Amino acid sequence: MNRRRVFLNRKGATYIIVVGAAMLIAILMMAGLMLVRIQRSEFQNEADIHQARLFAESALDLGLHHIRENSSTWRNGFDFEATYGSHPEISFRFEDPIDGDISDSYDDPVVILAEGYAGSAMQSIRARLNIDSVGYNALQSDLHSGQNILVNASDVSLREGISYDSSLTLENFSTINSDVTGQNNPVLDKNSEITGSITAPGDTPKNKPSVNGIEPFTHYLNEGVPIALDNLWFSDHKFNRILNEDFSKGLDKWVPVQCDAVVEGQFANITKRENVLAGLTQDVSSLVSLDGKYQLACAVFNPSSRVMSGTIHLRIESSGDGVRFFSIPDSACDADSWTQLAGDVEPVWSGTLISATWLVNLSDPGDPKTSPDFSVFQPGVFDHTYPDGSYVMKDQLLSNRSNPYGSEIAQSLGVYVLDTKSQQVFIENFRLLGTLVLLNSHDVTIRKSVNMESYIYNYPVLMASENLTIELDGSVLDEAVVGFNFNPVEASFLGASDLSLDDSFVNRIDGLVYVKRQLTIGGVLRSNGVWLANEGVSILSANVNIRHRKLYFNEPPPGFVDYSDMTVAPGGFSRRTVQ
Amino acid sequence: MISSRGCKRSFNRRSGLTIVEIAISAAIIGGVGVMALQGIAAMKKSQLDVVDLARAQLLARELMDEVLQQDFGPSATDGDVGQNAISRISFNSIDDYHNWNSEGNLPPQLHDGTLIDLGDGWTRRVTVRDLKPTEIIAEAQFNSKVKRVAVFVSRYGKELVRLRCIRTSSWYLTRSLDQIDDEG
Repeated sequence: MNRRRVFLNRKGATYIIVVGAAMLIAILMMAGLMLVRIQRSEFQNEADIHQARLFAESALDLGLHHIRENSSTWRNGFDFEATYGSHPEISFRFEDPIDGDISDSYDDPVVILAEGYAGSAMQSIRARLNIDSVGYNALQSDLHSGQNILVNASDVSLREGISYDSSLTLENFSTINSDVTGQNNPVLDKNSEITGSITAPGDTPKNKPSVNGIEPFTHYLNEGVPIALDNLWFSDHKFNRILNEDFSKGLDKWVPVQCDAVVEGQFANITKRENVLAGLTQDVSSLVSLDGKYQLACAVFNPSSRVMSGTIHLRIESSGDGVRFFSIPDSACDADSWTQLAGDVEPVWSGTLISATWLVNLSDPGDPKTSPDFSVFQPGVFDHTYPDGSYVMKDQLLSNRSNPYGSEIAQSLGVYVLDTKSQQVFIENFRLLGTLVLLNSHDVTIRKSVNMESYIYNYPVLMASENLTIELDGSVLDEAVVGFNFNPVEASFLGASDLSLDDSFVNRIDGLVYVKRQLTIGGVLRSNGVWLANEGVSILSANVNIRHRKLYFNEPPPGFVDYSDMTVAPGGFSRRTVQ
Repeated sequence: MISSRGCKRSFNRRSGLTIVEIAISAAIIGGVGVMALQGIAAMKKSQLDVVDLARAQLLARELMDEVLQQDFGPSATDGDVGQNAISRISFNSIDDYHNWNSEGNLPPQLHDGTLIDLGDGWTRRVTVRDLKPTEIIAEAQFNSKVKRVAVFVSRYGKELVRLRCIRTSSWYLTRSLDQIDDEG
């Protein structure tokens, strides 16, 4: 038994020793191999990270390139992802850090989120860019014409100068008090002068919006609230503005003053007049405006056996002038017959209009103290202030919070679009706090007194798709004269607002004015801004003073950007290793 | 009996490790030894491969950085300045690198010709390809070119590393971002 036990013990120990040693060697070997494998894996991960970083930089580069190459559409936004096989390699997307919507503003900064993938590695780059736009260099002048400029009997004072792409002609005692830059030497008659320096040929033609494109208008047409032409006051010379003109409603709207009046059919009989001014009257205060031109008309029947003298009066009572009569010329009214009276009056007054009254008068030339009876048929007031068929915007305030036309929907940026449909349009006695875009503006005139400026600080104040004529008279925009409050709470002026009618405003157009075709300036123009016409400019019998604003070149509004560049926002760049 | 018993006991103690046992043990040890040597050889080879991969990665990065720091340049097909040239000292746009190949077994060099002492057998080459807009972004219309740069590093004919990157004419802005990142 002992021998057997010894034999067995020796045999097992040997195997254990041998196998144990072999296992130890194998374990060491496997550990070494695994170590190398781990090293290789770590190295591969590092290589993937580097490749992913290159792809992330590529994605950032593509994002920037996409912005630069698609300056007008890149804000429409899309997510980009390029794949390699079944795995994505690079991707980028845009985000608006302000409000999350990159398409709602041209000026909002943008964050590019660029990602690169390689193997199991993902690298991310986040870059915030501020938009830095530069305007057309035509905006560096106070006044620029894409073609010719004619200055006739005018005095023009500018801050930065006038520029033109073709020719400049001064005639009939005209003066330009500024530097001049143009393609050709200006042509002056002996009585005209240019006090500043002349550079010709200069740095022209200037960069400006394409005359054949719609780019300058696109943004504003998208933003703006349309104003229908039908919502403007329409000048119809045949439209009788007096009320109840056929007496179909009896004496409604009519007031017999110091007389008796009886309606008989379509005419009224006036009897028992107490004096020569006694008669049938109607208040037409709402129909007349200062400097307006009105045709007064009616037919009168002279029942007497003698020839009488007939006329129609417009009785104006104002705070400044008291009572004044504006009358059509006297007409002889034959005995026992109807006579048509008609004539134009142009009432004027000072201060505030208190009342305007229509009345017809019949008197006896042989005995002026008598007040004969008569009958009235088809009384009328016809507004001839404006050419027949024209439209008028007057005595109103148009701002980002008030729109008196049509739907009366105010546009928050103050942008409004009026398609004039090539009709004649006048804008006068008007305050604009916003941007007015005029389409098909073949015959648009801004005249008398206006106060215009944009609501958005760098937006244009006026844009005309065709022509524009300016004929301001230099007088202040007076609330009392117009009878309208131009600075209510919703549209303060220099921070001041009230409910009164005792304010007056400087007659001026401040901001960027863009005219796609012909710009004509007459009268007295005062402006802080830039005036740009793609075609010709005519300055006729005008006194022009424009003080340039560099704002429009340095921070051009949409549509006037020559090129955009991006600057990196401080602290706006970061890298991130996801895997 | 005593003597003969004593002799037998002594014989049994000495014969604890038989010839068979020795043979089996030697076979096991021999086999394990051979496997160990093979493992060590494989481990050594893997270590060398990893070192080569690391060096190849460094060479690829160095060349890619060099290419990306150049100007964008004209179309890649026009960039014939440095094709097949050993020295890249005259290269000034990424197009110059199109189809560049370091050739032969010469040691790798920096842009200015300085040798990189990493041993023999290295080959580096670059391809620069113009990408069509539709290859990049279907919705976009790019007027200028977009280029794809690829750097390949091989040793003794075996490709070890391939790096790829896309570059556009807007790269200068991206580069300014990099500078900010580096400074930051």
